[in-house]
Amino acid sequence: MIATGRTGLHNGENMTSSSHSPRPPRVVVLVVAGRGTEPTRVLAAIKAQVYEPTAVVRVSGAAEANRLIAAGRFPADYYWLLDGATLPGPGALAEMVGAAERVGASIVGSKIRNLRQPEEILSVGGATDVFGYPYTGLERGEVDQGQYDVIRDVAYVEPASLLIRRDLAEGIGGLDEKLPYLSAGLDLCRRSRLVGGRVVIAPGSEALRPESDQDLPSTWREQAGRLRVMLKTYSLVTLLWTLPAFFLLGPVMGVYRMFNGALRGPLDWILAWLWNLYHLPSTLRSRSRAVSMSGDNETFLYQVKGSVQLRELGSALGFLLGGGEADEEDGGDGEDYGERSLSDASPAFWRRPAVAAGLTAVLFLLVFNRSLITDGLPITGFSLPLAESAWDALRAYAGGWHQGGLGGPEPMHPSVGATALVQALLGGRGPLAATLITVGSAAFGMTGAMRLVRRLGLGRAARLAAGAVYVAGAPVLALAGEGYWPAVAALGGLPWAWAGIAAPRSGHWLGRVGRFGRIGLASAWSACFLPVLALAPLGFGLLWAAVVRSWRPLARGMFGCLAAIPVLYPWLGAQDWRSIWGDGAGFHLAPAPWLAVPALVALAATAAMGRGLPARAVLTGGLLGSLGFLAARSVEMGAGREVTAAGHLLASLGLALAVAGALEAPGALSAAGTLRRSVCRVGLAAAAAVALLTLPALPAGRAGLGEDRFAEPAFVSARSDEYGPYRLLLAGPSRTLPGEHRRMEDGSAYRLLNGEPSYPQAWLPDPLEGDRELARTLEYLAEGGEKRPGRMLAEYGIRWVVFTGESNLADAFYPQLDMRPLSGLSYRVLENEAEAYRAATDRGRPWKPVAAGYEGEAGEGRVRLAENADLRWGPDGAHDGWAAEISASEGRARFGPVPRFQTQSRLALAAAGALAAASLAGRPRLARATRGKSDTGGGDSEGRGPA
Amino acid sequence: MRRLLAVLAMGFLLAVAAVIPAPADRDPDPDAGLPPAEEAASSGYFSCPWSLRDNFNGSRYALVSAVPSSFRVSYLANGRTESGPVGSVTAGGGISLPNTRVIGNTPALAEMSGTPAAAAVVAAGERLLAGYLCPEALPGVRHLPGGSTEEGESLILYLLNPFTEDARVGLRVFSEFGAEANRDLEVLSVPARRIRRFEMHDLFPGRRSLAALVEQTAGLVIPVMAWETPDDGAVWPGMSANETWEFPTAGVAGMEADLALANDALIEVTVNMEVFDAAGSLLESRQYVIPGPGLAKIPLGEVEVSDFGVRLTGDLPFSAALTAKGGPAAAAAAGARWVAEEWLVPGPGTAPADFKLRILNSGVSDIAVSYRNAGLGGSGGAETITAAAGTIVTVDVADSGLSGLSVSGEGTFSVAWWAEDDLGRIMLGEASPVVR
Repeated sequence: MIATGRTGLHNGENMTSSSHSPRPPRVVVLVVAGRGTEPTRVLAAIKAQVYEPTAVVRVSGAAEANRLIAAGRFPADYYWLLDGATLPGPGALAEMVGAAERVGASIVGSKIRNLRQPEEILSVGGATDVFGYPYTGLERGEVDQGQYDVIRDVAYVEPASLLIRRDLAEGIGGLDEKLPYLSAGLDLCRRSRLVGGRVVIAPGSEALRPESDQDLPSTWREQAGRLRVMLKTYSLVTLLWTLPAFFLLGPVMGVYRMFNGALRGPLDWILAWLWNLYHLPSTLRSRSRAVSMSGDNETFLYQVKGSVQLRELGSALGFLLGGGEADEEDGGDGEDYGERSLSDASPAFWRRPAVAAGLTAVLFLLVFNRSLITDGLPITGFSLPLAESAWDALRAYAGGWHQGGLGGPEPMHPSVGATALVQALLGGRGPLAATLITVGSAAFGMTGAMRLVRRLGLGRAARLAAGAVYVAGAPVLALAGEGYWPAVAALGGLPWAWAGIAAPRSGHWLGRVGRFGRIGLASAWSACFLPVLALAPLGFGLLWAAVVRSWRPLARGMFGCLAAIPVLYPWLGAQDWRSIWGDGAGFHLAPAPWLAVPALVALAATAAMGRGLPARAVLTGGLLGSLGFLAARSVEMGAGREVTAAGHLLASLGLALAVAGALEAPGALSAAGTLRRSVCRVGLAAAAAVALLTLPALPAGRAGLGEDRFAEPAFVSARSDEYGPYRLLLAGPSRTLPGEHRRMEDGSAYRLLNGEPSYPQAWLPDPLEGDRELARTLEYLAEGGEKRPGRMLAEYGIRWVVFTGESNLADAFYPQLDMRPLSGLSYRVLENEAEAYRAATDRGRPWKPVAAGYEGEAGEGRVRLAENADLRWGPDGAHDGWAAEISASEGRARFGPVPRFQTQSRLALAAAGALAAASLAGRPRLARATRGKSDTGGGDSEGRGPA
Repeated sequence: MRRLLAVLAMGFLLAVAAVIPAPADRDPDPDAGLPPAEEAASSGYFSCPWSLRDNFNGSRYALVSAVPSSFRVSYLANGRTESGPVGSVTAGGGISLPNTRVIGNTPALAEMSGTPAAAAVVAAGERLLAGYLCPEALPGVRHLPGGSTEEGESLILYLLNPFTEDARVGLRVFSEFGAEANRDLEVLSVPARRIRRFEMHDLFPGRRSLAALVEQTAGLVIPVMAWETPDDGAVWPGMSANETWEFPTAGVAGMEADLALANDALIEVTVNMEVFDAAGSLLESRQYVIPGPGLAKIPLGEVEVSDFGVRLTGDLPFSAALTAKGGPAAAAAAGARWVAEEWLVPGPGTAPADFKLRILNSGVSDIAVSYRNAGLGGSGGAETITAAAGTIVTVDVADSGLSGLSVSGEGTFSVAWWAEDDLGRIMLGEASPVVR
C-alpha cells in the first residue's frame, strides 16, 4: 500500500451541493492496480482532479481495499474505487461527490467511455434482469452526445470508477474479491440496495478505459459471479424460482453461443455451477452476514422483465429469419445480428415487424415439424432410423462392409457418413440426430430461402412466403411424400449456399474467408444428401454472375461446387456419370393443376410486367425452377433418383424465388401504367395462392413425410434369438419398401434387410453374385410349386418374409410348408421354420452377427457367411459359392477395410472440418452488454478472481 | 433483351418438361401373376390325408419318379410336422414305404425333389383293400362326387391343411334330393397343419348319391372321401371340374359301377358318354344332363360288355367319379382329366393282390404303349403292347414288392388300374399324367 496523497486538500472547487455539510466531503481514492501495473497516468489524472481527494492509496486488489476500508485508517466520507487502467476526467470526482451529496446516493458510478475511441460510450450503468444479466440499452459504438447526461438510479454501475460512502463500505464489507469485474460491481450495488443505499450514475463524471473483448457478461466467471450474487442477495422465496430458471437458461444460451462461434458455451455453464459449488460455503457465509432492510422488491424496481439473454436470442432468431434489414454496405452475411442484439433485446422488441415475421416463421416450422419433434421420424421410404451405433456406421462408411442387402465392398452413400457423424456428435443418439437433421434442415432451409430472398432485395412478406414455399411447396412435399428423406435433409444447405453467393463483398478478409467457408459448408451439406446438388452452387453462381455482371458470384459458386466434391468421397470415386445420372428409381414431379396454374400465372405475369428487383427475382427463380422442373420430370430421359430429386429441390427453390418476386412486384411499380399494375396484381394474387397452398401440409406435422410404414419390424427384435438379427425379405409395391429395392423379371420389387430397417441399409450396393443368386431363387419361387421356400431362403439368412402390399411373389408363398405366418401384424409376415443363420460353421454351429462382422465359437473348420463372397473377409477368406467363407480358428469374422476408401473417408472428414472451421471465421463475437476490462473489483474473464 | 432471353429459355424448359410423359409404373399387376396352378408342372409335394393303420389293416406309401429324386415323407400330427423316412429313387424308380405310425389315420406329406413324380396310398388288410393317388394342393373348388350313405355304409370327408396358414373353406353338399342345407358347413376353418373329418353318414344319412363341393376361400386344403361298406372300403381324392373325363376302369368284371357326376355351375351341363371295349366295338354314345348346380348318376350296368372304359365330354366343366360294388367289394376312383403320352402309376405291387393296368386309347390311331415296373432298383424292362384306336387294353402288370409303374406311349391315352385280393375285394386306382 502506498499513500500518495494527504488529507485535507481542497483546491477550491465550489461545492454548491455541500450546503448540508459543514465542510467538503473527504474522499480517499483507492487505486486498484495489480502487481506489475504502474498506474502512472491514473495517478496523474487524479492529481488533475478539480475536486482534490484527501488521500490517494494504491492497492493491489479488492481484498486489500477491503482491509483498508475495514481498518478505517483514513478520515474519509467517501471512498473512490478507481481501476488502475481507468483514466478519470478532471471533473470526475467532483461530479460524483456532487451527485452523492445532492441526491443522497450511497454509490455513484462514472460514465465510462472507450479509451481508444473516446467518443464511444461503454457504460452508463443500467438495469439488469432478474438473473443479474446487465441491460444497458446502449447501441454498439454509440457516440456520447450527452444523451444520458442525467443523474439516475441504476441497478448497477461498473466498478471501474465508483464512489461509495464510507459508512456503507464499512457496513457491507466492500467488494467481493471472489467476483469478476461486472459481477463485483453488481454485487456491491445490490448489497447497497438491500441496506437502503441508493445507487446512481453521474454521467458528468467521465472516465476512459480500454475496451476488451474478454469483459463479457457471458464468460463462465461472470455467469458464476451472477449466480453467487443471486445466492448472496435474494430471499429464499426468490431463489426458489430464479435458481431453476437460471439453471435451465444456461444450456440454452450455451448452445446458442456455441452456434455463434463460442464453442465453450455449454462448458461455461457447467464451470459456473461447479465454481459455485466449490465456493458455496463462502457464499453462504456472505449471505448470513448480509443485512436486508428492503427485501427483493427494492431490487426488482431496477430490473427489466424476463431474461435479457432470451430476448437477445429471440432477437437474433428474428434477424436470422429475415426480419432484420440487410446491412448490405457492411457486406453482412448474418454477421451483424450479434451486434444488434443490444438494441434488439430491448423490452419492446417483441412488437417489431421483424420479430413478428421471425416468430411467424418459427411457428410455421414448429407446426410443420410438430409430429417429428414429438414422435420422431416416421419409418417410410428412405426415412429410416439411424444406425444403432454411430461409430460402427462410420467404420463401415470408411471402407468397411456395405450394410445393404447381402453386402459388398462398395462405398456407402455420403449421407450415411454425414448422419453417422451427426449422431456421433450427439453421443450416439440416433432418434435425436435424425429429428435434429430433419427439423434443422427444414429450419435452415426456410431461413436460408428467406435470407436468399433478402439478398435479392425483397421485403419481409416475400421472404416469409418464399421460406414457406421452399420447404412446404409441392416439389418438396412430393419428394417427402415418396419418403425420400435425404431430399428433406438436403433442404438446409442449398439456399444458404446461394445466399452466400449472392451476398455483397465483405469488407474484411476474414469475413470473406468465412463466407467462402459457409458457402462450401452449405453446399457440402446438401451434396452429402443429394450429391448432384454439388453442381447447384456453380449453376446459381453462373446465373447470378450474369445478372449482376460480376465474376464474384461465379467464383463463389465454383468454390461451393469444388468444396462439396471432396466430401462426397469415397462414394463419388465408385461412381461414373452414368450411375450418377441414372441410378435408382427416379421421381416424377406432376403438380396438380390447382397448384401449377397459379405458379405459372405468378411467374408469367411478373416476368412479363414486373420491374426492378422483384422482376429480377422472378426471372432468376423462374429460370432455375424451370431447369429443376425439367430435371424433376426426366425419368423417361433416363434420369435416376439423384437427378430427379435434385430437380425437385431446384424447382422448389426456384418457385420460392418466383413467388417472392411476384408478391413484391406491384410495390415496385410506383410510376407504372394501369395494365402493368393490374397484371402484376394478378401475379401477386397467384403467388399468394401458391404460398397459401403450403398450409395444407401443416396439419400432419411431419414435414411432408408419409405415415410410418415399418414400425412393424419390431417383431424382428422380439423374435430374434442370440444369433440374430436375422434377415428379412420384403416384397411389395416399390413405394412401400424401405430404401432401395431390386426387381424381378416381372417387375416385382423386393429387398433384403439385416434386422430392423436402418439408414445405412437404405442404399443397396451393386448386385454381386449372392444378389444374383437370390434373384434366381426368387424367380424360381415365383414360378410357383415350391412349397418349402423357407428352406431355400435360409441359405441367405432370411428368417422372415414380409409382404408390404400386393406382390406376385406373395402367390409363391401361399400356401407353403415351412414358413409360419405371424399373427397380429398389419403386413403378412412369414417366419422361416428352417434354420436361417447368417453365419454357421461347417458343423452347423451358428455364429452371431456383430457390428464389424460375426463372432462365434472358435475351433477348427470353416464358417460360411451369408454375405457376398469377398476375399477381404477373414481370417483366411475364401468363396463358398456366392457366399463368403472364413476360418473358424479365431472365433470371429472381420472384413478388412478397403484402404483407398478408408483414406478418402478421412480426407472427406478433414475437408468437412476445414469448411466448418472456415465458416466460423469472421463470425461475430457475442453480444456485449458491457465492455472493457478493469482491475477494479473482480478478476479477469479467465476466472482468476479480483486482484 | 436479357429478360426476353430469360423468358424464352424459361418457356422452352417448361414446355419440354411438360411434354415428357410420366414413367410407367414398373410394379406389375398382382392379378396377372402366376399361371393357373392346374396347368403348372408337378411341384413334387403330395398330400395324403388318409392312411389307415389298425389291427386289421396296414397302409403303404408308394412313390414313383420319372427322374432321379430324393424323397421325404413327413407326418402331420397335433399341428406339427414330424419327419418320416427320407431317401432317394432313381429315374423311373419308386419306393414303397409302410406307414409305421400309431394306430389310426395319419395324414402324411410326400415330397419329391425331382419331378415328374407321383405318390399314392394303398391300404390292405382283413377289412379292406383301398387306395388313392395322393393329390397336390390346388386352388379352386374341389369336387368329391360318388358318395353314398345308405344303410351300413359310412362316408367320411377328410380335409387336410398341411400348410402353415389356416384355411377357410365352404362345403356344399348335393344328393339325389338336391342341395343339402347345413349352415354349419358353409364356413369352415381348417387350422394349419391339421386335418378335419366330417362324417357325412351322420350329417346326411340314407343318401344313395352324395357329392361334396369344397370351396376354398383362404388357403388350400386337400380333400379325400373315404367310403366304407361292411366288407370293404374305398378312398378317392377331390378333383376340380373339367370338360372331359376318361375312366379306363369303368367296367371291371364282376362289379356294378356307377358314374357320379357333379356340377357346381348354375346352369345344367350336358354330358356325352362314349364307351370303349377291348374289341373296339362301336357302342352307342349317350347323353346325360347334370342339373345346375347338382349331381347326376349314370348306372353303367346297362353297358352290355363287362370290361370297358368310358369317356365323358361335357359342354361345361363338371366332375365325375367312379364307384363300384360287387360281392364284398366296394371301390371308387377319380377319373383321368387328361390324356397324356406318359403316366406314372404309383401303387400297383404294394399289397398282396392281383394288379391290372388298363389303358384307354380314345383316339383315332393305334398306339404302341410301353410299361415298366418301378421299384427301388429303378425301372424294370419295358413291356410293349398296342392299344388300338378306340379300345381298351388290360394287362396284368406287377408282382408284389413293386412300387408302381411307368407307362409311356407314342400317342396320348389314359391309364388306370385296379387290384383284387384273395377275398374278392377290389380297389380302383388312379394314375398321374406326366406333364413336362
